Amino acid sequence: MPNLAFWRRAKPLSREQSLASVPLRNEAVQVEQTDAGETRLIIPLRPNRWARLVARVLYVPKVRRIVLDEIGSYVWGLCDGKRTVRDIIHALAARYKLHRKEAEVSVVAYLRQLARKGLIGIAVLRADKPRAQTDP
Amino acid sequence: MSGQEAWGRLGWQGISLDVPEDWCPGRLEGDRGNGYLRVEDETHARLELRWETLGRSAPPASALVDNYLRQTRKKLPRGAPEPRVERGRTIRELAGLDHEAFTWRGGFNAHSVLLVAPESRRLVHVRVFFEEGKDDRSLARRIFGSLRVAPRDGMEEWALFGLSFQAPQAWRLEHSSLQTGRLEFLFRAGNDELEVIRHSLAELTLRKGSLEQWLRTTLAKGLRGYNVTARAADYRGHPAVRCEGVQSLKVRPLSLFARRRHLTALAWHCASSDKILAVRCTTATAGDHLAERCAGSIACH
Repeated sequence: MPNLAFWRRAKPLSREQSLASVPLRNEAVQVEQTDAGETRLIIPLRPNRWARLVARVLYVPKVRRIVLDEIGSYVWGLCDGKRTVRDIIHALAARYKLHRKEAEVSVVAYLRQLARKGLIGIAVLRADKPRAQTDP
Repeated sequence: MSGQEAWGRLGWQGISLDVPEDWCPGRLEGDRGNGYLRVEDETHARLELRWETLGRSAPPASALVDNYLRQTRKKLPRGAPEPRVERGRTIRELAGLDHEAFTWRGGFNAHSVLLVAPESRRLVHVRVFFEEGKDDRSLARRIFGSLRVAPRDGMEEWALFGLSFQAPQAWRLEHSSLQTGRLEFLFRAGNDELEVIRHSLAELTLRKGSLEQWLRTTLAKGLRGYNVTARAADYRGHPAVRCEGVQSLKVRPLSLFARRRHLTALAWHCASSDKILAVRCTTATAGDHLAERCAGSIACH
């Protein structure tokens, strides 16, 4: 029987799954370093029909630029497709001497924001498929 | 969990205990009279603390345990196997307090201690959860043994996310804010106020301005209405700023003969923990050392 439940919302991730998931930067996003040592993201915009029409008359930017602050840049640098969310939390807590929970709350909120903007993707491991060992 | 792991203190609303350092509060509810605190490790809830004010004719702890077990049994799903309950144990460190320790196995597994705090007439119930086959009685015993429900020298211990300090028992927590990088507590007794702030990422913050600027911005609301003088100082080997002030007459022009309130504030930068810590206190009398006493109770690194 075909699966007709494709429209159902995905089951929410368990805490363990969230922490074991791996954020990965969007390769379409270009990265620059500012003079202040911060990271500038250059995101190509895909204009829709209306934007193309407007662009004939007015200037419509082809890219969007976002400057990440020092901590944001550090977390962005850790989203290399190898480190899990848990690894990033521990790294941030160690570098900025934050309590683990403080780091967890801010990292999770920040990664969610980056994912919502399409700047990163998050690879979630299936519960029945353990993650292969990677370098620390 | 081995006994070698680091432990920290957890204190809230006059109840404090030791927990492994990687256990953090995950949920906080209620006030001094009644409340709930859940502590989690990285993935699971590990400890629950409930407190509730009892009436004058409070029953003994054993009767409260009877009631708790009866209520918990009622919540079990129909057909669930009968839980195994071991009762009647006591904790040596809690000798002299009306308490009972017991273990519940079935549905969930938890070591519990339930005690009646003599001064505040509060029922305090601590549950330490464990997974099937991972029972760690010594861990639970250590936690229960460290439980404190009475003030020492009129001061109560507040400890959360690595910040630990003492505040007078009679003062009530008016406001608290537990944000990433910033913990704030405001206590009040009548018109007197005591404020404690811990700000993380101090190095980043102090790149943008001095410690005094940070203090004047952060405590702007609390300093308003006071003629404040600030001076750089050294506090326990850390660079610090001390503020002292008296309430401005502009604030109370009709009470020329009334006592003006006094303000003491102290902020210091602990480089080794990358934190700024600040204590502000307003009292009716000059020379009150409460701010100093509270600041002295903070272990910054």
